[in-house]
Amino acid sequence: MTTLKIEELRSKVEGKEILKGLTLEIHGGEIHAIMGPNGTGKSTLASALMGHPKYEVTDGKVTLDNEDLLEMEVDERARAGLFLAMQYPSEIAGVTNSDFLRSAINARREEGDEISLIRFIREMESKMKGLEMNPEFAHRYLNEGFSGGEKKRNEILQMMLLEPKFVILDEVDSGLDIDALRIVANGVNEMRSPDRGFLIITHYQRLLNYITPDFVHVMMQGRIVKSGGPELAHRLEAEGYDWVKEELGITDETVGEEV
Amino acid sequence: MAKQAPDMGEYKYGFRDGHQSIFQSGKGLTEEIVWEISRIKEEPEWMLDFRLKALKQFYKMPMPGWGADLTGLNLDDIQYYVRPSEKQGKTWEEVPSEIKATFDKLGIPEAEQKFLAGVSAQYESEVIYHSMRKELEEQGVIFLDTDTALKQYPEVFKQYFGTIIPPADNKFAALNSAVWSGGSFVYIPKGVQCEVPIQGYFRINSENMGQFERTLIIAEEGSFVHYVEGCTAPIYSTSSLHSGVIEIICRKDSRVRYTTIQNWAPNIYNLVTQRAVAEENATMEWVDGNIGSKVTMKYPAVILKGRGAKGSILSIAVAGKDQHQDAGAKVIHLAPETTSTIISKSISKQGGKVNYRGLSSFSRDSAGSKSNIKCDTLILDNLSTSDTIPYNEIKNDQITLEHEATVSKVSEEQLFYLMSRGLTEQDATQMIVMGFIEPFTKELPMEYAVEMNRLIQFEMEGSIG
Amino acid sequence: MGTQAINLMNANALRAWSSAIGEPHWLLERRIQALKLEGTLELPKVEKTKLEKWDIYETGDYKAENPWSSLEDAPEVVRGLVASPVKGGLIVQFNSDVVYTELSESLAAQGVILTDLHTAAKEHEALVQRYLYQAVKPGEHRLSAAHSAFWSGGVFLYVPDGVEVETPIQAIFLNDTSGVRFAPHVLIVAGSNSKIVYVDHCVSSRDDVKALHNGVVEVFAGAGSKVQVASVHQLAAATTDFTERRAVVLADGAVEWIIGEMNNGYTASDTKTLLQGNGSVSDTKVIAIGTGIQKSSYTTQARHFGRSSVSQMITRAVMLDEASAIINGITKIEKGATHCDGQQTERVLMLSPKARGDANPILLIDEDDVTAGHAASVGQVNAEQIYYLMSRGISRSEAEYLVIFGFLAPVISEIPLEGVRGRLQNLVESKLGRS
Repeated sequence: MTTLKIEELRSKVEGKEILKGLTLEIHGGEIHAIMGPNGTGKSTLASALMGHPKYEVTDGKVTLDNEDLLEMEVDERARAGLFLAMQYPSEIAGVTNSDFLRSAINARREEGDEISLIRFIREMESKMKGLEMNPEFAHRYLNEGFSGGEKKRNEILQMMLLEPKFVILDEVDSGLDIDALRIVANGVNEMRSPDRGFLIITHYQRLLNYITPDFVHVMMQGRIVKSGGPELAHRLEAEGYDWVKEELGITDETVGEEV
Repeated sequence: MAKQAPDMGEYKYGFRDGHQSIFQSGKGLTEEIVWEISRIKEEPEWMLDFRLKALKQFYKMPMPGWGADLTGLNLDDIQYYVRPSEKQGKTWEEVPSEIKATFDKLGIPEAEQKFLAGVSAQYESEVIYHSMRKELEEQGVIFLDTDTALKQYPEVFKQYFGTIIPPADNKFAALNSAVWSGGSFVYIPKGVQCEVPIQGYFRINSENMGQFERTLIIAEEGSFVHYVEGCTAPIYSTSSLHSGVIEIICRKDSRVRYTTIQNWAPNIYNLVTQRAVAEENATMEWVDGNIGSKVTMKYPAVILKGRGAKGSILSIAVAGKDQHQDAGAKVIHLAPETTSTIISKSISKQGGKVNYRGLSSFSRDSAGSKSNIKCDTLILDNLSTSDTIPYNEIKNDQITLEHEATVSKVSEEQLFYLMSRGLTEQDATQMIVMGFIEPFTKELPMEYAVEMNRLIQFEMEGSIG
Repeated sequence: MGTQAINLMNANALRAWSSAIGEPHWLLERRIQALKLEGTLELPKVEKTKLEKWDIYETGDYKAENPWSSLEDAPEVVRGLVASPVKGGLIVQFNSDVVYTELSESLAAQGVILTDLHTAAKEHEALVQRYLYQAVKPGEHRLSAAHSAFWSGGVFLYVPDGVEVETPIQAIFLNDTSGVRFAPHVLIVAGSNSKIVYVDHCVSSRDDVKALHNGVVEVFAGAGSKVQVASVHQLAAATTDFTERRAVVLADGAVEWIIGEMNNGYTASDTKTLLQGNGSVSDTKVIAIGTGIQKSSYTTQARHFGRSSVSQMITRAVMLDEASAIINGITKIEKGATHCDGQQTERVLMLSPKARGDANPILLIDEDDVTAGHAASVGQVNAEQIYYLMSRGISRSEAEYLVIFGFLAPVISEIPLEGVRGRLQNLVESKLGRS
């Protein structure tokens, strides 16, 4: 069974420590949600797991199916089965979405076993249809000139085509209207399987109305400070974060991240 | 998982055949050689005079004191004329087998089968193979090697030859005018639209031999032609010189597109003068790719002479180890309501130097004209450099000029994004570079786009890390 | 081509003059060295400008002036520029000599120095000796050699380490006599973590004053310092202006240039920043209006040596009548200057069919780990904007003026002194034919 295991992870950005010993274990078939106010280190966790060059891991251990993730290059992590749907996906002029997708699929296949063009197009088109994406987007340049919502759908499209073992969704709900949110959530739900783990990072509980998590964690000061089931998300939605802070005696929940 | 990078020291098309030339002029340039060239070619008196005057001009003019470093070029050490065989092959079967084998490796026959209206393949200094589709011939299109055109169409030839680029234009135009040999002559009659590209291949294959092809294209009123020129050359230990002159005349309402992809061997000095004149409402488009050579100095120019004329120059330059690409574009707005667009994409890597040098000039009579210039440069490693030197000369108040340029390395964010989807750093970098030059490749005929991508891929392999 | 330069003063005369005004020996020696160079060096190469045909050969005669005891009897043009009472510091050069110097007691008490450069060479010998001619070297070309040999008057402004001066220091250079030597040298030395604002105004009293202004501004910005230099030139149609401004910036230091080129005569200026230190920053803003038959060349340059250094250059010019301007921007990033950012913009508004405006934005990059960019545009007043303003009832000419003024305003509004800012605004109006 797929397991992502994070132990006492510490990470710095531009010399500032943002993650201060975060521990979390996620198994295949589970959906974990990490919630928390701005500036508590949620997105840093996502970027550090994926291996963004600006995020320096200073201590701790992360394994994906007992393989040391932190030893791997970014592309090796991806080929090992990790997928991060990013909050701000890069725009790359001149590279069409479909060329990019095909390269990404083939990158995880053996030489000589590349996906056939016909099969690729068929799969891409059917997934795009499911995400209600205009087929024209296959031929547009990667994320260039895409609206916020279009970029998010494109991230989900990549997730569906790459079929990763483990998915992190970083603020995938930000900037989405209610219809887009439903479509994106449907995409994620379609991908739910006993072999696949999910980590959903979000400010708001509204995404969790569409994707029901098994576990909800609250992040403050670069750590997980409280965990519970879906009911925790509902309470946070209704009452905000102040009660958590009060309960734990936290006055400033941020880690000095610029908001 | 990363692909094995090939040894960059081995130039892809650097094979060399054992073909023996019939006449070789020996090294150095004397008046006797010019006489001899003209005599062998059985040229009219006026052409000999033209050559001799140009030779004087060449002796008189100093080497350019700007641009690339030409100190490694010894003009006395160049062979100025080589003629590979006595007569031209009319069909592919008649072409000598060794030469044919060389072309086979370059993929010319396939290209012809699929796409091309005609092939005028220049082997060394002389055009040796030439064919053309019947339809074009019937429409009165002339597509000949320049030497034959001088014999067959002396009047139209004399009328235009040397009018756009006179010998005194620059030292290398003077040199070319003195010793030119081969090149293409294209004449498109009034109103004729050539739907498929016309193509010529050039190739240097004799040590220290200069190649001085001379191309002249005349597009009559309302006509259209797309001329495609591709170049590859074998590798040699000492320097060779390529110094072509290309003159294009776009009559009223005509449109000419001239596409070049040059992939000279890394020891060649490539010093080309290419210029077009666009008359009223005519359109001239240069699509210019410079990949190989030791030194390239090349600034495709359009003189917008008639009202409403349009010029566009789309170029890429890639400079690798020990290479200097000094390339750019010139547009001269001489008439009202003329427009020009320049898009330049430069890449330097492994210690290469790539420069954009350009001019956009607006005369007193250019009211209502516009120019849009965009130059972008990618520097791939910390050994490589790039200069952007654009001149914008404005002598009219009713014009608009927009100029933008950027220089950067491959974006870390973009690399991270692609790698997070499983692409290796090399593949991700290559993808970003291909995207960077896509505005160029998308303008190429499909065959060339494929070839271009292959060349870039080849250039990129082994460039990372 | 041009006539051979004739030095009105030979080495002996230079010695006599230098000793008469009591200059230290080392300074005289530097002047003599420069004079020797002047005889051997070529004129500077200014892109697309035939400097050899300009009136740049006559250095002019040194003209001694009596010091002013107060500003009460100062010419109107000077009084109009000065806020009374002077808050920070003020120095006035009249033709060849500095005639008035004033520095607030509190600044003097903090160790700030403001004097003419002759006095500084005597009283602050070590400092001046260390910095003079180090940014703009006498051996660069004939005009820098001539300046180095013959400068007179000038300004020395020194701010000690850690001293932050909020009130601007002002300088005025006034020329009212044809043929006099008008070659001030401004030397600004800002210590580590100091802060200083300097504003000068270079002006001819009438449009027929015929002289050569061969001026140099040298700025040394220490580590972590912030130096702002604002300068307005308003010289006569008959006067030729050749000015070199150059700053050397150490680690985390910042230099800001705000330049108003409002001369009526031939002008060649070069404003250059050498970003020596890691994390150093420069910001250069130039506005220019070309009128009459004026020819001019405005060059801005940023040269990056330090890692993570940042430069920004903006030149905006409005060309009228038969004026011609060649605008060059040069961003040079040296090898090893990683993580640099160099950006430049040149914009030219062409308002007359006989004007000429060239914009040459040049990037010279020897390092890969950088971002650099430029943009240039040349065109007319934006028709959409005119339409919009006219739709609100504004006349065409008023609308055009508003748009042109808006084009220049971002630089005008940055001038730190009210009096100079107001003057620049008036100058813009008068050059645009509105007063």
